[in-house]
Amino acid sequence: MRTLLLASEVNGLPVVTITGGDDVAEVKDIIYSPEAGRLLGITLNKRGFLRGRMKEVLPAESIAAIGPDAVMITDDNCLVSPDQAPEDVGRPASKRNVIGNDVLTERGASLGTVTDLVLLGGSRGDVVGYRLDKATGGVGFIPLPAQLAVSGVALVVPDATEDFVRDDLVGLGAAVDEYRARLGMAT
Amino acid sequence: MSGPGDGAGPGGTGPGHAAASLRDAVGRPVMSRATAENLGRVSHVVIDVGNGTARALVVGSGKKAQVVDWTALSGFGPDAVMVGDEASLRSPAGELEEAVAAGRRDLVGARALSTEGVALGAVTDADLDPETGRLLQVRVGDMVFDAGSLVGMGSYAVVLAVVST
Repeated sequence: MRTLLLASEVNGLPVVTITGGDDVAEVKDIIYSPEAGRLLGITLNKRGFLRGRMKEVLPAESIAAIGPDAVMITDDNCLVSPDQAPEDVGRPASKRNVIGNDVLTERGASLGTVTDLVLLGGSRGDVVGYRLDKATGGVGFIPLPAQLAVSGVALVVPDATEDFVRDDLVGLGAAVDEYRARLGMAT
Repeated sequence: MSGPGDGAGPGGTGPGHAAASLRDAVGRPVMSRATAENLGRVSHVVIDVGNGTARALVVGSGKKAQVVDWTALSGFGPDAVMVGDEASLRSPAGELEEAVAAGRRDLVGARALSTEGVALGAVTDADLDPETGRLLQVRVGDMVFDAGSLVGMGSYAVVLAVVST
């Protein structure tokens, strides 16, 4: 049973070293690549008494696992200054966000508006779905194909996605593999 | 009559003898074998995560806290910890021992996190080999982990290598 997390719940989680057991930072924000369907990295805040923005960033390659209670890294060498990080992580583009985007199927039906990202728990930041405010009202969850077209305004997903809109994360967890299998067969 | 530690008979040597509870060790008197004096009580245990052992015991607390290495123990029994004499005790040395002596690195009671970032609860106890101090198991509530899963221990959490199923 895979654990799925909302990206909004990752904000504020402690970043903990596996070998040290220390909380060396906390998540300020995630840097997401809609094209790749995964996190590129995480921007950080300081923990504890001296709160506030931390200069260092955490590239996705240095994440051991993102869980519901902490982001795990090997040690504090995983935190790097922005100029040592990949360009997308060191200086993230300001408008690379899918929140608020309309989700359209290939045949032109709107499924709703993206309100959150769904992450695979225990991964380095694989995004497997989106939470939507459904066009028909209420909250829904859709699985993501491995790749999709993204414009910054709208996302275009395969028509089959319509059959996989789920009401909660548990339902989405069961739908992801089936959805990807269906798309695999269709192509 | 039975109680914790009763399983360790006089012939108990080698891997067959009963494991000792780390939690129960705290509060146990530390006695000098030479003078039969009570030198204080165990307040904390220094864990060496790299070697998977209890490396030393902290005796007493506050500024008077002292440390006795596990190798200097002549007996780690259910009712008392035996040392040769007072000279077996020394001052805490190094960052780890100072943190332990100040009560900032106890295994029992620590927040346990899995390597996948899942909070497992607080560590309730650990079993160890009383002869060598080697950790055998770490207990978090009803869950029992092989001591080999203990990969990190610090100011925030104890990290256990656990793969969710």
